[in-house]
Amino acid sequence: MSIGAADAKRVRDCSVGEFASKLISGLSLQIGPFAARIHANSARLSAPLYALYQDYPMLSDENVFHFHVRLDERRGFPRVDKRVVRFSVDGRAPHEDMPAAQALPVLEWGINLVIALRSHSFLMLHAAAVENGGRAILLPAAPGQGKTTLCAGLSLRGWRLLSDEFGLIRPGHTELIPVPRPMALKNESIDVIRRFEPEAVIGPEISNTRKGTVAHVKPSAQSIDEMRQAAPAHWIVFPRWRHEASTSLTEVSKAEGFMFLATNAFNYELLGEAAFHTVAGLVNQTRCFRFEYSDLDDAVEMLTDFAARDAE
Amino acid sequence: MNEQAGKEISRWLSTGPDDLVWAAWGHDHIAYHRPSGKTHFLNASSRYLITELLCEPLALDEVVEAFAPAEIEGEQSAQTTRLCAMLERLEHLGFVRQL
Repeated sequence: MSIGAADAKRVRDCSVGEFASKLISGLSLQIGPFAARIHANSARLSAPLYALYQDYPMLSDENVFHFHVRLDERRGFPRVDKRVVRFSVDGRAPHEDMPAAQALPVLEWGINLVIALRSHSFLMLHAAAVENGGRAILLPAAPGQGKTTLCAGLSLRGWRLLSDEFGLIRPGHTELIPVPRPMALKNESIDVIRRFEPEAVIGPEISNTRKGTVAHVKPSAQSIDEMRQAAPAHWIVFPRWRHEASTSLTEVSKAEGFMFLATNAFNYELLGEAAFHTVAGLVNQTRCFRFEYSDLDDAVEMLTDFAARDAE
Repeated sequence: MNEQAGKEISRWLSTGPDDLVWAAWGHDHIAYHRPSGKTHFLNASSRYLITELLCEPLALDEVVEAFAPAEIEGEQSAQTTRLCAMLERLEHLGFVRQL
């Protein structure tokens, strides 16, 4: 039986009030392959978190968790009139306190940070990934290249979200392990997605963060329901958003694809030779492309049409 | 290279057959260097040179001869310079060494 099966209790099976109480006492969630325990005493978090996480399966509190994270809202120091939040994992704060108004992105970034720092049983590529018809597109990119926007666009047009941040692969394998999480849109991308799909569930816009204004898109219920189903990568697409660029998809050599993947992984050097063989295996079974775009509708249409044709 | 009589000629050798793991697509080669844990993109010439130096240690003029014998007069010097630079680069990466 898979975790995340239909009979598991979901966040949406609680009321918002029950959910808020669980956040204070400890909320146990399955997030992809990870069992997470989350404590948060910030009242401003419960409603947006409930909306974004409503489809996630809840776990027994007796579980063995991959990580325990906390978000504590408190008075600032020395400015006691300022409210701040402190993110901590297993009792340690990995960074300074942040303004309380940023509680949601601080928690989301904190969970990403914990995954990136601890999940070395996987090769972790800095990449989004989506799947359709049993074939996945891996979208590796440096920050600011339009990866999350493209990923959100594809996932709002029927592609299953595997991840918008981590391409997780078990060493020696080539299937992508889903870790669907709310997708963090930044700045102009927020309105791009609102126009692209007015029905998208998007959390509150939080301004003045270290990445500007951010808002999170809820993953589809299907992405959460199927988050135990790995997907074989068929295409590696390196996206790049560029103002007024025509949409273009250009195949690149496998060696070029390899080097970009290796330099873009969170833990390639840590895993060493196992990572080398894993990336080589991944590149062997895929085609690699550069993808430039400025218009999201065109981009989603081109990738979807291409994938349908290439899969035939 | 024998003009320096009495002086030993240095020879080049690949560091070890087990030091490198390869992946290749066409003329593009990727090498994982086990001692350093680093991955490098190499062209076909570099791979050929490393492979030659695995078989036996070679002096520079032997490398030139084995690798790219000049067919046109005057090219020898340019090829020697190119191969010397390639050997030094590969030595810096830890792929080859001088005996």
